[in-house]
Amino acid sequence: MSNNPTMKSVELTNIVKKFGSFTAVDDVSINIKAGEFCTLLGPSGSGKTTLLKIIAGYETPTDGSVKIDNRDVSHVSVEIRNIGMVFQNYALFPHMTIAKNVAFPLEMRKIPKKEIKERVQETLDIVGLSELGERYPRELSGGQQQRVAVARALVFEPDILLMDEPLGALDKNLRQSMQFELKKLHRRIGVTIVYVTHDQEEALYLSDQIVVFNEGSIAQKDAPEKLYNAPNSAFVADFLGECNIFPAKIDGNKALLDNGMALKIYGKNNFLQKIGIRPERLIIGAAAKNCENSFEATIDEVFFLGQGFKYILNANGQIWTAVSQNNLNTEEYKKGEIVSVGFDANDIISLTK
Amino acid sequence: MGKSNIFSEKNRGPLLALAPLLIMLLVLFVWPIAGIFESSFGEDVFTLTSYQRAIGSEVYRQIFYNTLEIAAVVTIGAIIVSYPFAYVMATVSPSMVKLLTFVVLLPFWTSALVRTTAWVILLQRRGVVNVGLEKVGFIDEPISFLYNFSGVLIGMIHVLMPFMVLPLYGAFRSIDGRLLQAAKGLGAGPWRGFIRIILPLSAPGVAAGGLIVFMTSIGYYITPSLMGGPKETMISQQIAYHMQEQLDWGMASALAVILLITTLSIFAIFQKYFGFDKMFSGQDTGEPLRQGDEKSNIQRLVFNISATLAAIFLIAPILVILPMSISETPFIKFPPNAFTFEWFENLYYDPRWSRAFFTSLEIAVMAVVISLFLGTSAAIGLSRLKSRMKPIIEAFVMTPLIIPPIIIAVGLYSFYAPLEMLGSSLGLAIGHALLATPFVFIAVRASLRSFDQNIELAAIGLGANWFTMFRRIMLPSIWPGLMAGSIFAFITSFDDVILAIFLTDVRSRTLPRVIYEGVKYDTDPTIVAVAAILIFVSMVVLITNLILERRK
Ligand SMILES: Nc1ncnc2c1ncn2[C@@H]1O[C@H](COP(=O)(O)OP(=O)(O)OP(=O)(O)O)[C@@H](O)[C@H]1O
Ligand SMILES: [Mg+2]
Repeated sequence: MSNNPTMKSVELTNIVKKFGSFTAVDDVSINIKAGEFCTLLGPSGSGKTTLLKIIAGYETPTDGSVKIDNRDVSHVSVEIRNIGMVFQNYALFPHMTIAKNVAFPLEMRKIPKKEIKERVQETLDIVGLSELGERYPRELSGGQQQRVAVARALVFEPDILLMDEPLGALDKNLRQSMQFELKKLHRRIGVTIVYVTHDQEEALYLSDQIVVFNEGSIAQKDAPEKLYNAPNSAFVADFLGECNIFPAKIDGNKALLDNGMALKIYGKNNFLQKIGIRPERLIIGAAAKNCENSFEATIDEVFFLGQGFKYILNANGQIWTAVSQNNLNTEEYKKGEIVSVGFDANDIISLTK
Repeated sequence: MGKSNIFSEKNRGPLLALAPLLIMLLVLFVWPIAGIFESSFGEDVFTLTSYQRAIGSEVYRQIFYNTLEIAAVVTIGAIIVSYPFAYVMATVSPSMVKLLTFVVLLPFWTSALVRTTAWVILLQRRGVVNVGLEKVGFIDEPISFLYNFSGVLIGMIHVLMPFMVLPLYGAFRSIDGRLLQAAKGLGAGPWRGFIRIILPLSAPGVAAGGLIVFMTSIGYYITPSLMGGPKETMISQQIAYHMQEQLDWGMASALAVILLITTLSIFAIFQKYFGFDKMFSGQDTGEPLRQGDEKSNIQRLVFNISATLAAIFLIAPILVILPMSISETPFIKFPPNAFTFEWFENLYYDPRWSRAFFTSLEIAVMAVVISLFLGTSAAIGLSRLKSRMKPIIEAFVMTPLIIPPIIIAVGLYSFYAPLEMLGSSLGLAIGHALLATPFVFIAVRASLRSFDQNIELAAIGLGANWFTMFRRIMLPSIWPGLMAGSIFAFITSFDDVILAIFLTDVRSRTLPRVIYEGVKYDTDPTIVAVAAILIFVSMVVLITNLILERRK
């Protein structure tokens, strides 16, 4: 595998999937470039697994087409598509050793015994499990099992690797180190990966492209930074990180909020329905007065988060959330204090719905 | 949601897998039973004569009364004997639990016929029990336990007790032990704690086990026939009598219909309140009950003594058979005055016994193969079926387990007679497969439940076709289920007397039928040797099973 990485593009066009009268996937089109790490992100039940199964060929779409490397595979069956899949609970074969699990796809492809042995060893090396080939899945930790599942999905040099919430069952520390491992692995072998998660931090960290799902259709798709900085809807802004979101009326260079507050805003059109400001963009204290927008607010609640503080602010009946870093020089505010809050016009995200 | 049409393309494979069993049930079960219904209303013209006779005549009224009375007393007796036993079983230390489990499961895995035989041997005039009581000085004259109400009662309670103990054990296991501690903290003494907390919370277990025991008792045949007298005749015996001696097909059918409808009604009540799958499984919640200080010493003593007596009642008759089998006078005298292997030699050299043994073996193997195929295929099919019909199909597949075997026997008899299949080994094997398939189905279904469907998808995605996946991935996973199912199927076949009585002739008699006739008519001592061997086999199977389970 190390000699010749396979990289294939995936093109989904107008995919629809209905279960009876219920539409699980609604008119979804995505282009995934060869070698890209693409993440499907969305709340539970938004159709991520279903879409993944359609790419793998376990489910046939009600409508639309799946192209791999520009070839239409909509009617090609699972075992011929040459796709590796890592299931959410890994689906390791419990009665086979790790080595046998990894050898399975090669045996199915009638590869000579000797070559199987070499390739299994090679792949176990890559995922860092070379010593554990003779163990059974139940004798491994969650993180090790996850790596076996990855090894088994990679060993036959699939064109595409699909992963359905592969880290969902792991605790936070292990999850973070596995994210790091996955990213390294992807850089190293360059295979195209379609990844499912509902953890937004994980999606931001891993992906070249994130597709945000909501109730079966795409809410927005883009590179992580763009998606975070310029979400187009309240749903995306709120799902990716936290956001202060308010309905607003635009009047020239002014945005009027419901409580009568007027905010300075640049070059926004009149179709805007809502505006958003990320909590970390809010400045609290004396410095706020120099911002393009500033106002006074009472501190309703203070939460200590470890790496910083979270403030719930009340500005004339409107509730804002702000976070500050836990630096040596950050000032701490108490509940009930009245503070100045500010941000620049450029910090405002315009949301169309 | 995608579940509407059972005949959609997705369900094609699952339906195909279900088809063999469904077809067999329709042909050999539903159709003959429909025939029984039909003939209960007269041969040529529609008449209610048989039903009028069944309801009007004193004889039949007495038999219905007997049946209900025996079933009710057996049920109450089983509850009284089982309750302290199950309670102690749920509260003792893990190693004691193992011992008590063995005590319940050994009878459960030993053929009901063999157990009844054991009781007949123990309870006769000069049997172990009478001799023992005389020695201790309790009695001067032997008591007649057999061929009267007490014989039927002892035999049936013993045979049906496991069905009571297991649901009760499940019920006790699901009671959170902290409740008792809380009650104590609130001022309830040990007896009040028991009456106000344990008793009401275990009531569903009592009801579930009681319904099952009652339902099974109503259709019982072997035990009343071997241990009861003419006054204890039950409805199943009367059906057989009309079939075999009176050749009154119409009357037999009418009685069968009455029995069938009664049984199904009880089962419907059971299904409504408890559900079939919960029969043997209790959920462990919170802290288990323990024989701790929340109980008084007297209370503990009462429970432990009752449980010990129940345990002796359960296991002693089975164990006593082993030494009896090498006694010179097993049927007549206890303790034995000399030992001999004559009865085992008889078994080997007497063609009547050896032929019956090999016939039974052949039939049991055929029955296992047939039921293994039908049950496994149906279990896989049903687990993959997406339809609202699923619970109905599942219940339908289980019905042979609930219907009294006498009705199945009568149905098969009427089906085979015109085909000249009476007396054929294959015919009986198919009948046994009918009784045994639900066990295979239950066992495989249970092991499929722990088989994640993603594993199947993964194997197929990694390049395996369905059959490779089945052979290399699914089969090893459901193997324990298949083994358990086969053992149950084998025991079912090796245990059956009723089908054998109707469907075999002198040449194709099975071992159970020969034992049955031996106990009923001529008390040949060889029976004790056969019983000993069968008990020994059950013990080996059970112990192997327990060891295998531990290894898991
Ligand atoms: N075979 C099926 N039959 C009927 N409905 C289905 C089927 N598979 C999925 N659905 C429905 O489709 C919707 C999307 O399911 P899907 O599994 O794709 O969600 P998901 O985004 O992966 O959610 P999660 O994060 O919880 O895994 C759900 O409402 C689900 O109930
Ligand atoms: Mg999912």
